[in-house]
Amino acid sequence: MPDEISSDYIRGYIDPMILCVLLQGPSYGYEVSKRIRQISGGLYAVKETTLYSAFARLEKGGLVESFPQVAENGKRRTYYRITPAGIEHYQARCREWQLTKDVVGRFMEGCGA
Amino acid sequence: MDDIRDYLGSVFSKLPQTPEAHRAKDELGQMMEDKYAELLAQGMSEKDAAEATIAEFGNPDEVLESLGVKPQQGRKRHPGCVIAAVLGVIALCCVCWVVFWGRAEADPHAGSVDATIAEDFSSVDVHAACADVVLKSGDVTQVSYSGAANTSFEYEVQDGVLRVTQQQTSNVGVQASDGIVITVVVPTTVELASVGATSDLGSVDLQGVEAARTDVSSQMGDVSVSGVDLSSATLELFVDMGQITLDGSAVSPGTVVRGTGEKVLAASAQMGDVNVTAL
Repeated sequence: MPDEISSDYIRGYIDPMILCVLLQGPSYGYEVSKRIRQISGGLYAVKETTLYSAFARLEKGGLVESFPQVAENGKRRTYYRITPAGIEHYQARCREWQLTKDVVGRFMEGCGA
Repeated sequence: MDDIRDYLGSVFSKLPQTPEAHRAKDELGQMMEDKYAELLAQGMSEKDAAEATIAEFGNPDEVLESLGVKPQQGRKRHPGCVIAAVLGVIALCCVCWVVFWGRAEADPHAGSVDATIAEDFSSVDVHAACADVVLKSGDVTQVSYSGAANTSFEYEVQDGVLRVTQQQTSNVGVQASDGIVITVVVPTTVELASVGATSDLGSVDLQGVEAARTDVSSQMGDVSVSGVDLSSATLELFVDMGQITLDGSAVSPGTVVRGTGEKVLAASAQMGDVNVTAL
């Protein structure tokens, strides 16, 4: 079992995580949180408050848009889908991540090797 | 379930009753109800499920911040500020309404388009938000478009560039590119310095249109190039998720130089595939 991930650290990556999930299709709050837990292999569970504030921020920035939909069980839910600007933002974050990983990795994976 | 509602009620009781706060409460409630229902389905007792749901809810201050409210200041707000904020929101809505309404009214090409272009040009630049783009060679220059709701479509020749642009004009409705096609026909007699075609959600298909520099890309769709003489060309082929096929065989992303490499073809797809077949 690895040490626990600092939630403050990983919270900085909640936006690309959500966008990644929404790239696979529109989805709603709890489903997105389940997918994030699944994709992270159970190592990260996002809090509802973190998820909602991220959705609100992403929507304000035009990266996702919300729409109401009634699920099969008759429950009304707010769904989110990614916008073209959201796709672009996600890709930019992916490129930034590659660079970050490369730079930080030089210091964290065998210094000076 | 009542425990969850009470908990949320107490979190939000400190807040001004704004639509944002109401929505936040509603959506957090949806998420908590879903989690609660799943825990029950897994065999947990109602009491334990409610406790676990509340325990894992997170820090309420996070939500307050996203509503632009600092908890300790929430009640001290001067009524004048609230009125000013409400007036500001109303003014903003009016502006948005005018902008979107004005655009929809002024857009001359919202429906289907089938036009012949007479002006001269030496470059083509197509940008689609949610349409498949087809560029092909023919006898005369033509632009056609199968219109869609909530999109604008414009074309013009300016400074020697044939510019074709499709945009989404509102955030509701059509988003898939299904069945929306932009076709641009360019005569083989036109010597082109550059051709650029990109689609955010649709595919890009270039057939037999030759240019000194060609840039084709798509974020979600496939990109294909065929019928182009690439015997002396630099091919810059990139994909993020899909595959690249060059003359029928799979290749890795990167640059391929053929002959003197003077012609440049850049083709990239983020989610889809890139297929290039030389003449």
